[in-house]
Amino acid sequence: MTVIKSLFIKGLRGIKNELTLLPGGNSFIIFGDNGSGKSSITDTLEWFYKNRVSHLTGEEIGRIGQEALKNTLLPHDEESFTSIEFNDNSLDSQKKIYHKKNSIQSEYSNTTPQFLQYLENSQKENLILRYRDLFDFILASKKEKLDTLSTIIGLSEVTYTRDTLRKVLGELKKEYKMGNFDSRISFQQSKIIGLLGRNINSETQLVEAVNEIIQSLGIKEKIKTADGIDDLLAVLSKPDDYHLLELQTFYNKITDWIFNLPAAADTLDQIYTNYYKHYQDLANNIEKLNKIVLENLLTEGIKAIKTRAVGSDLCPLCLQPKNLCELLDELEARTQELREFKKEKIQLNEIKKNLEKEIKNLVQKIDILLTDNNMMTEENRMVKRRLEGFKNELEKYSIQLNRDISPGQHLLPPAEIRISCEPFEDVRAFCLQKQEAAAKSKRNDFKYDAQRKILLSLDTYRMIDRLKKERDILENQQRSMELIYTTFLKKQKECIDAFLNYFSGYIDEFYQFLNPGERVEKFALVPLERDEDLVGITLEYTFHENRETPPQKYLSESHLNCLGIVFFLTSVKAFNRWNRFFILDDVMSQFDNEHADRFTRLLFEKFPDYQVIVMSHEKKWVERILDEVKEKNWQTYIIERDEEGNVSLKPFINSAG
Amino acid sequence: MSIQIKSGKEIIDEFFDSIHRIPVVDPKITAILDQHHRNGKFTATHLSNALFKLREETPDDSH
Repeated sequence: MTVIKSLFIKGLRGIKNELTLLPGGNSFIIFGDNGSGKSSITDTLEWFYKNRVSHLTGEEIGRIGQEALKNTLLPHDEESFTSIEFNDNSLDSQKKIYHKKNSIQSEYSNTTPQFLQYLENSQKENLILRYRDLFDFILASKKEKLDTLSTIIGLSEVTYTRDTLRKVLGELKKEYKMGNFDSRISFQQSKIIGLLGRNINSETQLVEAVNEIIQSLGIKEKIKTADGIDDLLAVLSKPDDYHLLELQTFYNKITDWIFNLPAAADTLDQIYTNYYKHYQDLANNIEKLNKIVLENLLTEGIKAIKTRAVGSDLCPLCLQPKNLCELLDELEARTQELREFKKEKIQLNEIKKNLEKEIKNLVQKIDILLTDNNMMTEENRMVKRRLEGFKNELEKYSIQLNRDISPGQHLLPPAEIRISCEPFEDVRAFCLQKQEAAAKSKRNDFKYDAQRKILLSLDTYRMIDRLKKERDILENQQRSMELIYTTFLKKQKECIDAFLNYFSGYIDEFYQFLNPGERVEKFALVPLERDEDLVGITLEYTFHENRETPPQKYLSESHLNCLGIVFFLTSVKAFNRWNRFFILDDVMSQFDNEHADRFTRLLFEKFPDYQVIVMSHEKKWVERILDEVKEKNWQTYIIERDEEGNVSLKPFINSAG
Repeated sequence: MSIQIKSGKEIIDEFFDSIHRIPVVDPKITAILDQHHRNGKFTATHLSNALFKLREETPDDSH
């Protein structure tokens, strides 16, 4: 793991001349009065790793705050840079900023893949804690706490994977339900019974039944497989019969299609009813829906308040006097509400896509039937007209789906566009009648009748076989996805629980170290779940034997300060894998002597193998611990600025002697 | 990151590394999920399409 051996800074933030720090990988404390340049070192390190300085970012000074980085007293043509040498010298690099075509550019001198990988890994680590950031996590909402931890450990990737698996499983379930397999199979079976006088459950049974029929025609040869039936039909068929048999198959397809219609119409109706409900809900809040565009603005406002971008008690958006705590609550509530609306709008679009897909499938099936040659004949004109009529009926749904919610266009209620399948009863009756008439016309033609039964039975058997396969494959996919999804949920829970337990353990241990015997204990990060979803994290603790949350309810500002430091240190322990150093910039301002001394011991005892970098303006604290830190090879410096703006570092000498 | 706890990426990678060991799961489905994860195409639409394609490709004699 990486520690800093030497650090050189020139022309960045408050450091004009070149400043050299040679800690050699050891911990160090820099003492300095306010404005002496301590935070310039922190800012420079943050910029080196994160390519931004969090408290300098903003609309006026740019996204990464680079414009505010260059020292204002440095001549325009002089380079500003920081160079860092590490214990692993393959990572040594300089990062400089320079002017190019009226803009400020930056670049690293080290461009090796190894360094770039190190930089990328470091960006995810917790390296710097400033006083202003202390309360961020502690005072954050439950969702913000979850978001913070999610970002650090990449929980959003886990949530995304889980949601995707759940969605795919849901799609399979829906597909299976809409397949309406049992009912379709039993309809086909009833047709086979009508043709052969018995049910057929296997290829052997079909072959047996067909052999019995051809035996009655005096044919001695026997078929052995269902595929053999095709050859048999080719032998039996006379040219005159061919068209009649083809027509029989055609009517068979139409009756199949009509049988499936009620389920298809129901599916459309269900999806549309759901769409209508969501549409109406959103349409009733059209003003709020139109305000979704404000979400980014409000989010920026929240950010501006949190980063103290404007003066105290001024709204960052309208610059009117406001109580910032109340304003923050109000903005967060409004943002949350807009996010919910945005989510609902996305959901509405998903339902819309689903309905469009169903309509497309139905239209495709109708088009296949409409292109059948038999559909073009005069006698089947009515069938054709009705199918085209049904296709037009589907247009009603498409028209509704094209309505735009924003200008306040209304949708027709589901009952008004629901497609009735009853009119197709006459088409079904027509097809059956045609089939019967054909059979009647060939009443005494045993060969034709045998062919008809064999052909239609084979078609029906193949249809059943296909439906069963389709059903089994879907069942298999559904079962597999179900198992995969539940295994994932189990793994996710185990990992999150392990993470929260680990994290809670350190928070409690460090807090107790800093505040022993205060009857505030057993801190724990507790997951908040809703419908298998992790929706937030809360910080619980025992306050005088009672479980309480949130911390600000009972803890004083200095104790919240402690908790902020403890959270940061826990994050360092838990997450920093590539860097063995961290920076604490003026984080002890709220500590009394006792707490400050305990904090020093905490760093010594719990982080002995880390390079700890402390910036402080607490001179008495540095004087008190000077001998002890020297024993542990820590270095101590005093940072000073002269009248010309030059910053220098000197060894810290105890003025008390 | 510490040894005791895992990052989101580690949780996911571990899951996909062991996905083929989940009992009674169709290996073709685990292969699809794993492949989509590795190729950065792990979306509900891509997966549903791949499963649909698998259903279409499944040979007739599988039943």
